[in-house]
Amino acid sequence: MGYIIGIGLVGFALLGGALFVLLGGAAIIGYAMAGEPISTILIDINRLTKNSTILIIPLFTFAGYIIAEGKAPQRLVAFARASVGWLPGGIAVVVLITCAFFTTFTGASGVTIIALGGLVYPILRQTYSDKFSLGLITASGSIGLLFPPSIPLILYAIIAQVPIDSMFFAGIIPGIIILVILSFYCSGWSVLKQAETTQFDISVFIRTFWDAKWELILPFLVLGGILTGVVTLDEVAALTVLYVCVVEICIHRSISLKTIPRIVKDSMVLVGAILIILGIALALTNYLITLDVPTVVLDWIESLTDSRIVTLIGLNIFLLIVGCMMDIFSAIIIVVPLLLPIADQFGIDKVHLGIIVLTNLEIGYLTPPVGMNLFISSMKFERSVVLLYRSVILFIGLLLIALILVTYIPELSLWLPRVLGKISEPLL
Amino acid sequence: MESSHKNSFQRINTFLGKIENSLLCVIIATMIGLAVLEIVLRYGFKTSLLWKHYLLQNLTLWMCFLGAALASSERRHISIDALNRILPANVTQYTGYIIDVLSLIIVGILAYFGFDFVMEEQNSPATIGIIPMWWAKTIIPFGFVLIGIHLILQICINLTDKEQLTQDAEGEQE
Repeated sequence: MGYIIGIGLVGFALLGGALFVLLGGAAIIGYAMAGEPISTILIDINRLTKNSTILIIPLFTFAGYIIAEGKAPQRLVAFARASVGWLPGGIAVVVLITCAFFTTFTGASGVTIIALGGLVYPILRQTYSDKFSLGLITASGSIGLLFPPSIPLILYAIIAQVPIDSMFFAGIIPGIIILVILSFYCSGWSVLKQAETTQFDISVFIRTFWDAKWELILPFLVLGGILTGVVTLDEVAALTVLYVCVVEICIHRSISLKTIPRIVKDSMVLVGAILIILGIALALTNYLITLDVPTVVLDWIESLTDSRIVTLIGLNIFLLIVGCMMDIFSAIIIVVPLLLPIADQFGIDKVHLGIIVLTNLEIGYLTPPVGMNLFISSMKFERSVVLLYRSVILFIGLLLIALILVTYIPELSLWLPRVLGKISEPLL
Repeated sequence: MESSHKNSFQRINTFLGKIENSLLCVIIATMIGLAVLEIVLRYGFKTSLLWKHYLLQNLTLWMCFLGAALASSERRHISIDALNRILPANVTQYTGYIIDVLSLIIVGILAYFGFDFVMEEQNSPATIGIIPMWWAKTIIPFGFVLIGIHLILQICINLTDKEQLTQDAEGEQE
């Protein structure tokens, strides 16, 4: 009986049933078979209101959509071009940095590829081959989610119950490492192929910087607000929304008030989709805990190996598979509760685990045959998915190098939050 | 005939979506307003709003359900759908109906027990300012009901869409 239900649920998921319905169905069946009242599920959904950090998810997401909607992408590309366009591979680095900036604010949901792809693809094609350009854009669609205040970082902190600010600072160095590795590759490629570069022009640099100044200082305002503690985290998020609205509507006038409801809709569709999964997953996780599933998984892992390194390798492979099957939000919500006891047993810091998980899922997005970014790029640029498989292979290789560094050198993630005194704080 | 049905289904779907969308706009504006008010009160008047936290947290719950209802109205819920990326379109069309009906059943069960939950909450004396707390919780069952309505409308739109297609095909044969 259990197997039939299991197969049914898996089939439902693979055929495109909404994930929250799948989790709801699993929870209903689970509670019914255990003889527990089904209304417990609703009590767990209501726990969404017991966590005071969840509300920063809608606010930051909305802010991200506002930025992506205005002319901010153009301004940022212009500035990045003026500042690093003269380097060998500079144009490619421009794309990497701009995409990273946008993914940070919009979450890795393909928004970057859709919002920025059309803008940066022609710029890349002036210098690079079609395959390289597509590969770079597809790969860039998920880098940047290690930088604050990305939604996956917030979501992980909520699920794993670690302080959000420690996650925010933990992601910075690993995020930079990924950017540096990819930038070096682009530079090397450009030197080999003797690609063109632009001349550095100080006046253009200053002008484009001035144009993009309001967007460029935003990350520092957010981090500053968190570090100084003058305002609380939810106030930082609300002020960020107010700030981007004032900048894009009143100062740049690139968004009219009339488009705001549509931006609200687009961003809240994503928020609703994430939060309802989160709410129902809280119920399902509780059920799994009553069944002792995390302990069973842990015992099983322990029976296989007692080595930390082997566990980490297994974790990496498992997460890569998860990452190419699921989007990052639901993957975090569903998988992380199972990983926490394992990490605890093998002495892996929860903050470090978070960075490992996010880096893995980021790569999973690109991994053939079903990584989501491949399909988004395929739709956006009207190319075959097979061509995209070939175009991202090298980028996957480079990201795997970054993954190995991040996984096996915990200090990369833990040093910065520790120096800033963010790691030994009490739990949320 | 069928196409006019289809239009009315779509119109209801869009109309409901517009209401949800407007409520979401109001909620976001309220959240920003509250944050600004709180900062002004804290630094200007050394005081704070005690009920602010409860209100904000319940507004998040409303955002969750209204957003989820909007996602249903546009079929933009998060799903895995790995098979759908590989299977041919004429197969996924039929599996799509099965998925929709199963979803409707599950959402219906959740809505039913959601009303139960609200009934229970009515006994609690908790309030947000002067509003009884259970009022805020009504969004849980009504949210699921909204999702269910959007699902039904989607099924109707799909069915009429298909009738329309077969009619067109027959018309061409004649």
